[in-house]
Amino acid sequence: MMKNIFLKTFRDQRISLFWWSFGMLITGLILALYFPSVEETGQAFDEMIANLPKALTASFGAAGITSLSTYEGFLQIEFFGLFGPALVIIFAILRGNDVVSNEEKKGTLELLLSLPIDRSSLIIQKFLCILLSHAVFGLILWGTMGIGAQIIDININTLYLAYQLFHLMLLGLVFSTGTIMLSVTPYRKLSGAGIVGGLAVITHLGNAFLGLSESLEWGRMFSPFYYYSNSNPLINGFHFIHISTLFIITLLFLTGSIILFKKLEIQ
Amino acid sequence: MIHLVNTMSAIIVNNLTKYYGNLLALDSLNLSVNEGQIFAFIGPNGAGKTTTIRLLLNLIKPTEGEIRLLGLNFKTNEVLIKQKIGFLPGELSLYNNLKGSEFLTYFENLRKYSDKKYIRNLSDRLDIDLSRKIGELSKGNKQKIGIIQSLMHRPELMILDEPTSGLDPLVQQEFHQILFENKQEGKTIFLSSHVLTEVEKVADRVGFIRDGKLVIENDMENLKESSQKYVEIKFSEHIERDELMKIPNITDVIINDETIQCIIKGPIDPFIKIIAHYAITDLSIRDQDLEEIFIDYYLNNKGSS
Repeated sequence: MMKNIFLKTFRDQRISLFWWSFGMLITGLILALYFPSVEETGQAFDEMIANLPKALTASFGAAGITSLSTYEGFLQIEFFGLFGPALVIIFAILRGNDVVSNEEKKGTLELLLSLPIDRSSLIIQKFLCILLSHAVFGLILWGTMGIGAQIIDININTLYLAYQLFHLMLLGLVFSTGTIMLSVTPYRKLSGAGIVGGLAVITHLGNAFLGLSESLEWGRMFSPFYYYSNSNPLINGFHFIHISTLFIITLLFLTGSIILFKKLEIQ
Repeated sequence: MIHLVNTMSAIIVNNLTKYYGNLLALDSLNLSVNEGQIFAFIGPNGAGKTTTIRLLLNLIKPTEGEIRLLGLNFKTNEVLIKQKIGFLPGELSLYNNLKGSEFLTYFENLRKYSDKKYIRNLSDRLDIDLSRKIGELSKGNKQKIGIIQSLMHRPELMILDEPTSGLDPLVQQEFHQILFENKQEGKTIFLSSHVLTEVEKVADRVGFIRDGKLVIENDMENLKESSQKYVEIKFSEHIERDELMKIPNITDVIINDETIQCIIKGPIDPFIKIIAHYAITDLSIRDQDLEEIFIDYYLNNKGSS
């Protein structure tokens, strides 16, 4: 179980991962089981949504969603708009912070780096553990929201749901690698995780509100949430450019983390 | 002074300088440690010992200067160097959620080197139960696990920062024996310590560091030879002070009735020849120990740098 850093990290996080997975499972099940009762009163909800100020629906990440009476619309409003990204980003930031910061704070990084391990390998192995956790969450949510819903006769395109979850997991990885990168800069004591958390809120709100103004809409392209949600993959399917952009940002942050970590002075 | 690359040197440090912002932590340090030697690095707190060790491990980067360990440099051979060295940090932190045996297995896996028999031998000799969780162990027992992890892969070079911190005297003795055995096998040991009696016991060569500068680097034997001797003699007759003061290198003479106390620097032969003319009832001659050499040097040179 402790053949390498990846397995040791997985072992250390197994209990936390179990509870996070359990939480995701319950969330997916509740959403699937709760939808039929919403569907019955969907028209009333739709009217209510139509009367809400656009800024308010945008802040929930539900801009452009007009119907709660479809399962896709329900999932967008209840989960993929705000709650799901918040959940995944919190996990991503916590785990990203574990990679270097926590080892350094505990004092174990010094001993670990005295071993014949390339610094890039340490980052990559710990990142792979984060990647695996995201994949597990994605599968659990896909199983409960997709397959689970079909068992109780709710129709959903499970392939499109997979695309949507893929976008969500990539969004998590962007923030996770962003946290790793900030935690290996010389200014890491200024709370890298806190800064990334703040950036998540700012970029989410930026994406939501800039979309309300035609002249400022271009600004959304600087927010990862734009690439996460703008193509609405649950309705429209795979969006190569947006997925690629999230993937490239993740890769850039990971590469930046490795380069900075190689130069890092351990405290 | 530049140390030339010597095939017999396990550690070569040339002109090593380290600034933390504007603070000069290490000032043009030159150092050479021969293979098969136990080198003790001593100095007051904040002198630069830990900074030097962290530079030797490439945990921090030098502002200037060069380090070669076992003939290799970190720029091209970091992983290879780290295969050949064992490190014990001064402030040891281990994974408290693991058992001692699990921790050592993890490090064996990461080093891709396993010698369970040697680990068992070390744990028996240091008297540590590896089946207990590290978080439940005392500081001394954690230190023993730290020592085992630094030695278990039979490294060519051991860099040990305050290795006996927290160990009881019996275990310290066993640890010194382990160090001697490693030395006999040709391994090099670089250790920093505050316990000067320990250094005196185990080291072949000593480096004193103060304010980031190496102020003495010498063989232990030479240091002892050049050290002062504390002398106390009881005569059965009166002795003239003037007679004593003719002795070269005598200082701090205190005469109390028929008893004299003094310090002799350098050869003791002229002193013995003069006192041999008097009837002596008791004589004690003691070498200055390393602590006294160090304190003496430190106090004499405190204001000079």
